[in-house]
Amino acid sequence: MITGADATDTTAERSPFSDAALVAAARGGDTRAFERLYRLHSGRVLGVCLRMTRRRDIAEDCVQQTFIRAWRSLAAFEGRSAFGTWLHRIAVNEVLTYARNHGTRVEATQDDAVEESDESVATARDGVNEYDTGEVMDVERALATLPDGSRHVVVLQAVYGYSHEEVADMLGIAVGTCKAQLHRGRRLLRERLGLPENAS
Amino acid sequence: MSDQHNESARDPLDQALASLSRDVQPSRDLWAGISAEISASSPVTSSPRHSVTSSRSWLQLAASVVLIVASSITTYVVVHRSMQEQVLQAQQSATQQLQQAPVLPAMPASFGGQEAMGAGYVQARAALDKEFQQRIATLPPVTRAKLERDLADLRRAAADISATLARHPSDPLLQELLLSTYQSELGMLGSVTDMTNATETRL
Amino acid sequence: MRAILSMTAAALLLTGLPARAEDVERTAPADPRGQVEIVTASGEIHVRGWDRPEVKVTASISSSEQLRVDSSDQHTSIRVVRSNGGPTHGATDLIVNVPRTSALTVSTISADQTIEDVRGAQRLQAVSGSVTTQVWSEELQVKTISGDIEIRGNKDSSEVSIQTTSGDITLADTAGDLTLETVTGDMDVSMKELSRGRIHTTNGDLHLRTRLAGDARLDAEAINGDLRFILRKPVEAEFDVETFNGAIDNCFGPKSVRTREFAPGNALRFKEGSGGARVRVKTLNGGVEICKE
Repeated sequence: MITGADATDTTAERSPFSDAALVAAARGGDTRAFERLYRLHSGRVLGVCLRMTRRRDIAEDCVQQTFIRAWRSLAAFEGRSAFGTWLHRIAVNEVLTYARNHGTRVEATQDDAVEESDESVATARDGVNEYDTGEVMDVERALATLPDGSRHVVVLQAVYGYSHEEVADMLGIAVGTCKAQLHRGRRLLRERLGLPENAS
Repeated sequence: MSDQHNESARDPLDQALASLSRDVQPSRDLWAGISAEISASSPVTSSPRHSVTSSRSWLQLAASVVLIVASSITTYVVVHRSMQEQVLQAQQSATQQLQQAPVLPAMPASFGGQEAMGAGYVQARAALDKEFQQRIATLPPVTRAKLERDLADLRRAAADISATLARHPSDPLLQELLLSTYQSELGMLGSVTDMTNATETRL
Repeated sequence: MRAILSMTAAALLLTGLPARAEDVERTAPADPRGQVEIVTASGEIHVRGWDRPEVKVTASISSSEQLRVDSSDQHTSIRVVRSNGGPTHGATDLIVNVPRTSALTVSTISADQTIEDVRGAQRLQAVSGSVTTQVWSEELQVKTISGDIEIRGNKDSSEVSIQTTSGDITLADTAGDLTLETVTGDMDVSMKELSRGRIHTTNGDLHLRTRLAGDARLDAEAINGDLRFILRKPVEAEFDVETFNGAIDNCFGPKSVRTREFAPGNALRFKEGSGGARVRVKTLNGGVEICKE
């Protein structure tokens, strides 16, 4: 069953069947097949890394490390989840490892977060944009101001569509903590975006 | 709620988050660095298992042998009653404590807050926890790991509420939910013990 | 049946286990309103109600195990036990036919339980096995630690009590009294009518669809789980909903209000219709949604 970020992807290029064929070829040492996988999936991996780390330089390192690690672990990919989901798990692990190794949280200053938002994050998808550039930037900016715990959960769950259980597993936290962080993150986002408290 | 599409249709926050592009283009081509690294190596044929972080400082994991808990019906009845009595005693102690002191003291989260439930509760909980540890040591590793995670979830929920209560000490909703969570923990400790005792498989 | 036995025997052989599987069958007379108790460790248990005054057990067991069927007065006990004191290997599949109106107790560690057409009171517990059963008008109590639970009612009024740590619960077509307790398990419940409901979850999500009896009492509590109620019309109830951090989203009635000016807390209290039923919902972080259909 395809879950998470790949669940809503309908392009032929992202079909699980083409991924499976590319993975099989890459396992056999075909680096061109692996490059194809990189071209197909790197945009989303960078999206995850950038929103989790809030630093472009760190996020791009994370993308490289993710794909290098994926190459080295291809034999361990059993196809139980979508390839993109597996990559995201590796990417999240890379982000968390970086944070642990560097002793502090991966945190940009408020200014850095704003600058990154303006320059680097793509605007809304074509055809699904009810917000103008200014509004999208506000959402991206508000997301970047969330504390690490909440931001990680909101990015993976609300932006990339993973379930509570998947997010908890990726982040190595309890499902309950994940839900609590999501609620906290959503509450903070509403406040910062000036949205009403209740859904309706 | 679980239905994200219905949520998105009504909630402006969900609409805003859904409008964010999932793809981000890199500032430079990252493939060159990746290619240089992987060209030097083939995909490995095996990889280290991703270890599940399941250990907690207060838990002792037993050796992973698949065994079935054995006990006679007599022992089951005695232990069953004993567990039920302990759970009941602990719950009664906690409720009494709450009634006598309607405002729970705002225990720092590091103390867990359970001391506020009374000595009877603390003792019964310790006994149940000890029995629980012995029981789960006999279960298959996958089941044991799941139980430990679930218990950790419960205890984390209690710690979260306790920390929130420290900031809002007279909030009756928080007090009610904390007591309820402690009772759930006792219930879980007692249930696992009861249920593993209930199956006799050795003559 | 033979396929199951053959597969079980084959599985035991393929794993290189020393025990040889043996097909056994036992039959014992049983009072139609008597009690039947089944205790085993792992495998699959199928229990089917029938209209004969006897219990019949069919099993494939290894030579290191014994099937014990003890029948006396109104009590029949069925156990799979180890005969040599060593650890069991493999799983034992049991097919048990019992008088339809028997009271049934089943206790397993990792065996999956499937119960069909047993109309007496049922007490079913499994540590990690799943439980699937039906309920009529008698009491049903189900306890699991991680096994999923699936219950189908027959719209008769009954008392159903379910307790699980992380198993998911699916319940359909029951009526009457309901008690649900989970730590992380999710609950998907569809009832004909609810009289008394007590629901407590730490992190599980609840989706409850039901009609409330005129004097119904529903008490639901969650720490982080989301609680969603779809109530069939007409809805005549008093609502007392409070959350610390969660959102309250109701399709009818007034909007929720903040309970404190400078601290978290949302509350929603109102009466719909004559207000004979009472609905009380409390959460810490979980969201609450209440709608009609």
